[in-house]
Amino acid sequence: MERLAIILLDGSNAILVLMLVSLGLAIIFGLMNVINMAHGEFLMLGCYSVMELNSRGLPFFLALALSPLVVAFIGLVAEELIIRRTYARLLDTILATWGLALVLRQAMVLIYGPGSWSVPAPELGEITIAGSPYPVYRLVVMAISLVTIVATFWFFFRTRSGLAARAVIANRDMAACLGINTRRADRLTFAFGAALAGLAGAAMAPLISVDPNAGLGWVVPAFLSILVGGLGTISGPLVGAAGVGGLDSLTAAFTSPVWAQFAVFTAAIIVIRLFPNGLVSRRKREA
Amino acid sequence: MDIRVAAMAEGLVVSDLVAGYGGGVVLEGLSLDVPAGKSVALLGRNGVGKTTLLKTIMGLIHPKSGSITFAGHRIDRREPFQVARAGIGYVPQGREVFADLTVEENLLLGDLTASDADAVYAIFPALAEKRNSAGGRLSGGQQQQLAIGRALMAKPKLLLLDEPSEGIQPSVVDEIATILARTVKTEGMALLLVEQNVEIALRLTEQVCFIDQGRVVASETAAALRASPALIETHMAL
Repeated sequence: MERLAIILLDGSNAILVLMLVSLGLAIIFGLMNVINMAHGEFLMLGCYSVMELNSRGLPFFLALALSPLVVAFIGLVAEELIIRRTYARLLDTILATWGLALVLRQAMVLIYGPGSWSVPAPELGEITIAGSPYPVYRLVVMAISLVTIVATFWFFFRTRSGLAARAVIANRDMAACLGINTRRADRLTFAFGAALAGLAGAAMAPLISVDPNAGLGWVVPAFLSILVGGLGTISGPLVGAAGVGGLDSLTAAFTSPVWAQFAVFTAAIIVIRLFPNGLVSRRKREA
Repeated sequence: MDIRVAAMAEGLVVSDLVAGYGGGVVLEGLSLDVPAGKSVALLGRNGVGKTTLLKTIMGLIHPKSGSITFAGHRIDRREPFQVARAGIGYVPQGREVFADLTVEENLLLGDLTASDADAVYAIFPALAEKRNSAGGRLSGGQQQQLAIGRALMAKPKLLLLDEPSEGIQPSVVDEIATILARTVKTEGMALLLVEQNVEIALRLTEQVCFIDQGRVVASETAAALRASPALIETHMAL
C-alpha cells in the first residue's frame, strides 16, 4: 500500500513532466509543421541553465523561473537563423533540427565537459504520504507542470492571441489573409515550445544527472505521446503522455525499465494500428 | 479627370500584372482599376486567371512583374497580413471557414481587437443563432455568410469576393446578394467580385470586366449589359 502510493506519485511526476515536453513539441509541430529533433536538447539546456544560474548565486527558484526564458531566447535565435529557412519542407526540418541538436550537445561538452553534473535540490524536506516519506520538491515539480499546462490551455482557448495561434494551426494562408502576422506567430511559438522544454529540464535538473545527453531519454516518449494522442490537437499529446508516461513508470516499478520500454512500444504500436489518427483525432471537416 | 485620378489614388490599381504558380504564367499583363467605393465584377471562363488575380492582390502569390497599388501605396511585395491590414477583406473560393472554431471565434479572427461580433450579427442574424456552433457544422449558405461576415469585421475599404454563389441553393444566394448589396452601399466600400452567376454579378456591381487568357479583354457598365444581354454572350465567347 505504501509502496503503491509512492509508485503512483512518481508515475504522476513522470506523466506531468512528459506532458510539458510533449506539449511543446506538439505546439511547434502543429503550428509550424516542424518536427523538432532538438526538443530534447532544449530540455537539456534548461538543466544546464538552472545549474549555471544557481551556481552563480541566484536562489534556486529564481534560477528555475529564468531558465525557460534563457531557453526561449536560444529557441528564438535558432528559429531566426535556421528553422525559418526550412518551413514547408518537412524532411528538411528533421535534418536541420537534428543538426541543431548535435551543435547544442557539443556546445555543452565544450563548455561544461562530457561528464555529468548534479544540481542540489532545494531543501524543502519530506512529507509523509500514506505512511512513507516523500520529497516535497517532487510535489513542487508536479505543481509547476500542472500550472504550466493549465496556463498553456488558458492561453490557447481563452485569449485572442491563442485564438490567432489556433487559426494559424488550422489554416495558415487564411489566417494571414485576415491580418494575422504568421511570421510573428512562428517566432513566438517556437520560443514558447522551447521554453516549455526548458522549464521541464530546469525543474527536473535536481532529480536527474545533468549531462549533454540528458534530453535524449525524453524525446522518444514525447514523440510517442504525440503519435498515440493524435496530431493537430493540443489535448492529444496530453492523453498520449498520460498513457506513455503512466505505462512506462508503472511497468518499470513492478518489473524493470527494459520491460517498461517493451510494454510502451508494444502498446504504442497497437494503439497506432487501431487508431491511425491517434486517440484524440481531429473532427472530420464537414462541407 | 482630376476627380478620377483622386478616386484612383484611393482605390485599387492593377497595372500590367504578370503572375502565376511556380513557373507557369496565368496573368499575362492584366490591368484593372477598382476606384474607391465602386463595385467591379470579373467574368470569364474557368482557368482564365480570376482567382489568381485575387490571390495575387492578397499577396498569397507574388507577381513576376507589374504593380498593384492600393490607396496610393504599392502592395504587390507585401505579405498577406499586411495587405489585409491595409484595408482589403478577402472571401476566398470555397469559403475557408475555420471548421473547428465556433462561429463567434471565426468572426473575431476578422478583427482580434473587437470586443464582440454584434455588428456582423446585425447584418447576418442567422449567424447570431449559431454563434457557439462549430463553423464546419453550418450549411453552405451559412458558411458563406460567415466568410463574408468575417471579412466585414475588419471594416475593409475593399472587399474581394471569390464566387460567393458557388454551391449554394438559389434562394440563399438571393438573400446573401440582397444583404451584400445593402452592406456595400451603406459602408461605402469597394467590391471586386469574381462570379459565374451573371445575374448576381450585374446586381452587385456597376462595372463588369471580361477576362480571357490572363488579360482584361473588355469592360462594360452593368447598365449596358442589362440593357443588351447579348453583349455578355459576345464577350464571354471571346
